[in-house]
Amino acid sequence: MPVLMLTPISRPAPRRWLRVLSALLLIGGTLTIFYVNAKHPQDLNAFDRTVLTLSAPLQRMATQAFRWADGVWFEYVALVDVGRENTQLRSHVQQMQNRLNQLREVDLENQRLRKLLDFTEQSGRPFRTARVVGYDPTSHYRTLRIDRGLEGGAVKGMAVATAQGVIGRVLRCWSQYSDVLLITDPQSGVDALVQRTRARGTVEGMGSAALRMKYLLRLDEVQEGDLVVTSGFDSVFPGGLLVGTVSNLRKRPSGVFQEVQIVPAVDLSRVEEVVLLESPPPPAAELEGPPRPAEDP
Amino acid sequence: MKLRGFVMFLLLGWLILILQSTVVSYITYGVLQPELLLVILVHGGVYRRGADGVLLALSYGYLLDLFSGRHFGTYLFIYITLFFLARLLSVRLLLQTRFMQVVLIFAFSFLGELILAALSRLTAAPQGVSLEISGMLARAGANAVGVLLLFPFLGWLERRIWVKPKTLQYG
Repeated sequence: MPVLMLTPISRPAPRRWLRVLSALLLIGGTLTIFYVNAKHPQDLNAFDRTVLTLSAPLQRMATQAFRWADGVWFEYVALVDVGRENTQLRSHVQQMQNRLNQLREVDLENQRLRKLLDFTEQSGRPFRTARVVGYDPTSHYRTLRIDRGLEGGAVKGMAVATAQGVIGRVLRCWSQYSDVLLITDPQSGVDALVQRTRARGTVEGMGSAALRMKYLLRLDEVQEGDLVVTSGFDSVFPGGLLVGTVSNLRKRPSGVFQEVQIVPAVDLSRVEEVVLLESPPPPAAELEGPPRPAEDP
Repeated sequence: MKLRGFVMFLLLGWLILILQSTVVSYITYGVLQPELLLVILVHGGVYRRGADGVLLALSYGYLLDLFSGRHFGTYLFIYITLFFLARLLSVRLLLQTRFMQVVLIFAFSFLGELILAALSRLTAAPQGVSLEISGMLARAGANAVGVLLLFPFLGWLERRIWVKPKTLQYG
C-alpha cells in the first residue's frame, strides 16, 4: 500500500490569500443560504425535485433488496442455528424429564418408606428394612431376593411384610442377601383370621397369584370382600397384618370345612421395599399348641 | 480525467447517501448510524486540493440537505466549513496511519455535531438537535468506525480514477 507523503506547499502569497478569501466567501455564502432558508423556508425547486425523483426509486430498490436479503437470512440461513438450538433444547428437556422422573421415584419411595415406618412402629416389633433386588425368574413370583442377609440381621423364618400387608417369610439367607418365600407359594402357610367374624384358618399359596384359606369351619360366616388378617398365633407374623381379601367361596355340600379364595393384599410383582420382623416370644396359646383339625376328607 | 473522477465521487456520495438512508438505517436501527458521507468529505478535504474538491463538498452538503429535511443550507454550511478545515489541517497532521485518520474523523464529526447544535439554537429550529454531549461523542465514534470501512476503499478508488494531485505524492 502506498504511503502518503504530505508536504507543505509554498505558493505565491497573492494566490494563497485569494484561496483563503474564496473559502471565507463560500462559508459565509452557505451560512447566508442557511439563515435565509431558516427564516423563510423555500419550497423545492425543479432541480431539487429532479434529484429526489431520481433518488426515490433507488431508495426503494435498496430497501426492497435489503428486506429480501433480511428475509432470506432470518427465514433460511438463521434456521440453521434454530435447528441446532432446537436439538439442544430437546436434549435439555429430555434431561429435565429424566431428572423429574428420578425425583418422582424418590418421592414415591419416600412415601412407601414413611408408610413402612408407621407400620413397623405399630407392629411393636424390632425390624429390619430391606430392598428387593430380584424376583423369581419364573412368572409365578414365588420368591424374592432382598439385600439383607446374615450380616444385616436377617434370620431364616423371619416374617416379611410391607405396609400394605404380608409378603412371606425368609426362606434362606447368606452374608448380604436373603430369599423370601412368598405367601403365594404352595409351601407357604400363614395362620389367619377373617377380620369381620374372627373365623380362623390357614392361608396357603396356590402357585399362582391367588391364595386360599383352608380349615375354615362350614358354619363360619364368610363372604366375598371380607378382609383376612394374620392371627399372630404362628409365632412368625404379628397379629393384624393384612393378608388379602376374600374373592371366592366354595362350600361343599358335606364335610366340616369350607375353602375360600383370597386375593393378596400386596401386589407381589411390584414390591420394592420390605421390612423383616423379628419373631416374638411364642404366646401361651401357641405353647400349648393350637388345634389343627385334620384335612377335610 | 478530472471530470470523470469528480462525477464518480459525486455518484459515489449519492449512492452512499441512498444506502445510508435505507440499508444502514435498517442495520443500525437508526442508532449510532455512521455518517458515511462525512467520511468521504473529510477524505476529500485531506487528499484533494483542487476546486473539484470544493464542488464535491458543496454537492454533498446539498444532497444531505435534500435528504435530511432540515433547513436548506444547514449541511451545505457545515460540510463546506469542515472541508476547508480538513484541507487546512491536512498539511499539518501526520495522516499516514489509520489511527490518525480515525482520530481526525472523530474530531470532525464532533465538530460537525457542535455546529449543527449551534445552528439549530441560532434559528430556534423546531427540529433542533440535542445538546447531549454523550450522544454527540457516540455518533462521532460511529463515524470514526466508518473510516475503517471507507478510507481504504476511497484510497483505492482515488488511485484508479482521480487525477493524482500535483500537490500530493504517493510513495
